[in-house]
Amino acid sequence: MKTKKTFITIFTLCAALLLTACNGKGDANTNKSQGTQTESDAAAADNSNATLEDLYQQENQLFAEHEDVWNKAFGMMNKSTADPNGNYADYLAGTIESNKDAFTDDELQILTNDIEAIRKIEEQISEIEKNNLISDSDNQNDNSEETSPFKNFSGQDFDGNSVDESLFSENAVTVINFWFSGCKPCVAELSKLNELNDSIKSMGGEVIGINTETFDGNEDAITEAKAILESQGAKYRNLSIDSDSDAGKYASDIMAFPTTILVDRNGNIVGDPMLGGIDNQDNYDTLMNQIQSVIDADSTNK
Amino acid sequence: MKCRKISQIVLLIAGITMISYGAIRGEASVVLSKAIKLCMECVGIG
Amino acid sequence: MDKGKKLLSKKTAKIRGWIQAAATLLTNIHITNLFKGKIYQGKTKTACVPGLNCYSCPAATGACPIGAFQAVVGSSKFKFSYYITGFFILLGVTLGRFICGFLCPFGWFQDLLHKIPGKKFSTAKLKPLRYLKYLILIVFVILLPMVVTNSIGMGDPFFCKYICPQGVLEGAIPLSLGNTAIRSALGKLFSFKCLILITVVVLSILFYRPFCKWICPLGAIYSLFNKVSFLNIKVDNSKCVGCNQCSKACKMDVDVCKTPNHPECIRCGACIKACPKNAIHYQFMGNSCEKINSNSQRQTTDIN
Repeated sequence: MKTKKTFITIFTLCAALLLTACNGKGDANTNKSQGTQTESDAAAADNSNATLEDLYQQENQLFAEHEDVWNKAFGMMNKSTADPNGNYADYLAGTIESNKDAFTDDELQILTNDIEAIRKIEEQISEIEKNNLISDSDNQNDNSEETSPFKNFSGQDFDGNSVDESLFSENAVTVINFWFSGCKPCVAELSKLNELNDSIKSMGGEVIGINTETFDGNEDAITEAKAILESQGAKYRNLSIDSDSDAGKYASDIMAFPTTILVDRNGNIVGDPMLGGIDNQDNYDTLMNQIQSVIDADSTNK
Repeated sequence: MKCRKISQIVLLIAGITMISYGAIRGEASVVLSKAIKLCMECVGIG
Repeated sequence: MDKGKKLLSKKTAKIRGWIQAAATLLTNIHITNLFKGKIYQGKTKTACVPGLNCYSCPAATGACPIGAFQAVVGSSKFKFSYYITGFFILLGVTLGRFICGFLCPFGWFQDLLHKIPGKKFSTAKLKPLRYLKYLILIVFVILLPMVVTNSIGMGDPFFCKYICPQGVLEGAIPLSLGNTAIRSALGKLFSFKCLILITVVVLSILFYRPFCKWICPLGAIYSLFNKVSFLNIKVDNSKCVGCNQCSKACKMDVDVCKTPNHPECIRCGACIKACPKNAIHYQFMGNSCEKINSNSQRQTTDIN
């Protein structure tokens, strides 16, 4: 009897503790709401696409209904006078005007009516296309903000100089390596990273190190990190960033070390993060290939 | 039997003292920093 | 009073499986992390859990004592860990290998595997292998991280890196399932350790607790405290009839009547359940001064 009671108390305790662990569920919910937002955007785009198709269908219907007349009109059209930015109806009206004599009065009537209908349809089409463009560019902005925690980048290097996101615009590609002082494989790859820094400097790249214990200018951690970097001969820049910036949150989320990411000129992360020391030859080769492709993409964009 | 009791008490005190000394020395923060960040090779990944 | 204690011992031994389940759950409380592929990063990881439970398990509540020991010894700042050694001593003197029998998740894992039906082999003739765990403790956990260091005094956690199957089972596998980046980083080391895990799994089905007997350095440490721990096993000489049922029931190859606090005893209570006279029971903080019964020649003594 007694043991049963102790049992039940132990189990309820465990259940209570489990509930405290369920804080994680909160994050899952916010992820879901973000997901539904992008879904609704896509749905709206789909809707407008459907309307566009409808409108084009209506135009084609008009042409089909009075096929003979329109074929005659099309035959007289002069492509060189076509103004792509203007309303299509104006272009049609222009052609008809200049060839008025070739048509009978009835045909002219039909054509003019059709042209008016087409004018209205064209206006609707241009409205929708304008909206699509706006939402597209919005999406693009959203996406780039989502994938780039380095938009509002700020930090200090270990000599006290401040850096911000102009750091990325100076380089075709920036290799950011996350490490911490107690991680032996991270320390082991520091000299290889220095080599990498020297070799990609001429190509317009730079290696930046971020020690995740040195946030917010933590003096002790910075001293320790400096000593380690010196002992391994790593002379490339290392930064201490603010833990509440987007970049700081991104770095705090990283929990597997060492991690290396590539950032392009605009501050966007390219590709997936690379886990594991690059002193391993396979990892080094993969990384070099990725760096090369970012540099190539950058030079073609120019 | 008495020997046993004495050694138990000695060990108990030694244990508590060592834990406190180690925590003061800063070992506890090393444990924490190693435990919340995954050094992948250290656990056999990679 | 005596009878109540003995019945309590028997009851405790009977619900050992449930206690092991609860201990595993408490040691790995952050279950939601398993689906996210991230590890818990809260402050409770400053403290160690009593059993062998890798800190890289996404659900882990605290740090692994063996892992933490190697982390401190292998760091550039310290050569020896007072914090963790004190922890070993404290737990050893309070509970001894009761932890192995009741609180260690990997012990529970082996127990469950051993329940899989099939031919079971005895480890009685393999007693010399028991010394292997002390060797592993001294070499892989203490010496190598201390001595094999890089230029700034950092050492690898050799046991965690090359041997521990619990790290693969609880850490590498759940993380690589939930986290694509980690999955892409798996390499030769992971394959080697998977092999070790599979070997331990197969051996656990055939033998009883082979890892605890032959490999676990944590068990090796706690075993040193079995003779002095507050929680120990007492055989009531006045009740014992010498039937030897206890030693037959013992799967750790301990002669219970003679040495109930042998270093290999994990306090699982199989002997307590098997004794027809209820002569064996758990004891916490001694009650070594028992009343002398009316049969004054028979005294209850602590058998060490």
